[in-house]
Amino acid sequence: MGATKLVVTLLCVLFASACKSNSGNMSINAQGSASALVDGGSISDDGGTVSADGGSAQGGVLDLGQGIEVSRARIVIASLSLEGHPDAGGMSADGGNGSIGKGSRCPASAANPITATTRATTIAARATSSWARS
Amino acid sequence: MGPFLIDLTGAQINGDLVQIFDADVPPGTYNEIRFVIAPVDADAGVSDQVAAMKGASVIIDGTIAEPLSDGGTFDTSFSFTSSLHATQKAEVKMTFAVDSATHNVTLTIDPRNWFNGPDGSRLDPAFAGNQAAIEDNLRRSIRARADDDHGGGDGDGHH
Repeated sequence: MGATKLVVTLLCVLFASACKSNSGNMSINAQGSASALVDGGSISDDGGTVSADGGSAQGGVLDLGQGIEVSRARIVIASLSLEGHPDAGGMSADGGNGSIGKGSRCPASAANPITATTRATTIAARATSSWARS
Repeated sequence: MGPFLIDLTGAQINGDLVQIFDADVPPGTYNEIRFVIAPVDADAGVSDQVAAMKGASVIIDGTIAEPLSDGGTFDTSFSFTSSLHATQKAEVKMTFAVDSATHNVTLTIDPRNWFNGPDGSRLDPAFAGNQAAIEDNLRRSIRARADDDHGGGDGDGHH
């Protein structure tokens, strides 16, 4: 009886381990795109000025023209998912079994980072200015 | 995955790339990204940032210049708040393999026309009658794309 329990335990550990390593990585980013200018605007590549209609973006404020400036925008993304064909009967990237990946091999558990969905919550500004590619 | 908050200030609104988070994805090939903009219950175990939205899905802070009789203007602060519900899809081709390079998904927000009417006139965010029109503009201003090179434009996605 004791041996049976041991085997079962080992299988669970191996199973969870396989699921944990059996994943790719996706990075979610956000980017404003006001640098795509409307008529009459101008843009510099020194990070100084963006203009939508002759206004400017300085001091952390974006001039949208017509007397409106925006200093902050917050948007809630309630959910984000990938649809497609997970290998080996996997899951959709939203952590569920999805419409395609039924019969998942990876059980929903705290040991499985896929079902935990968000492994990390890193929030970091990346200084990848869009000016250079304008 | 989600919910999460996109919080853009200053240069981030103008085009800087902001990393929101990383996520593990089962190996496979995926052809569509779908995301939902919607309010989230603050009591649903969400992050403090999301909870601070207090049931709104979009909050835009800024100022609007009002004309004065002498020809000048004065700035009035506004905070446009919306409980917008919107689902967006984008076709992509992303293949994830074990221990392969990270794939990037970028949500692009284009604020240029948030407060512009169809005829180009200004939509005052403080005027309740403009709420629906501004929300339509918001809905159209956000899209997702695969963006492994962080190069902007249409990236790796197919639209």
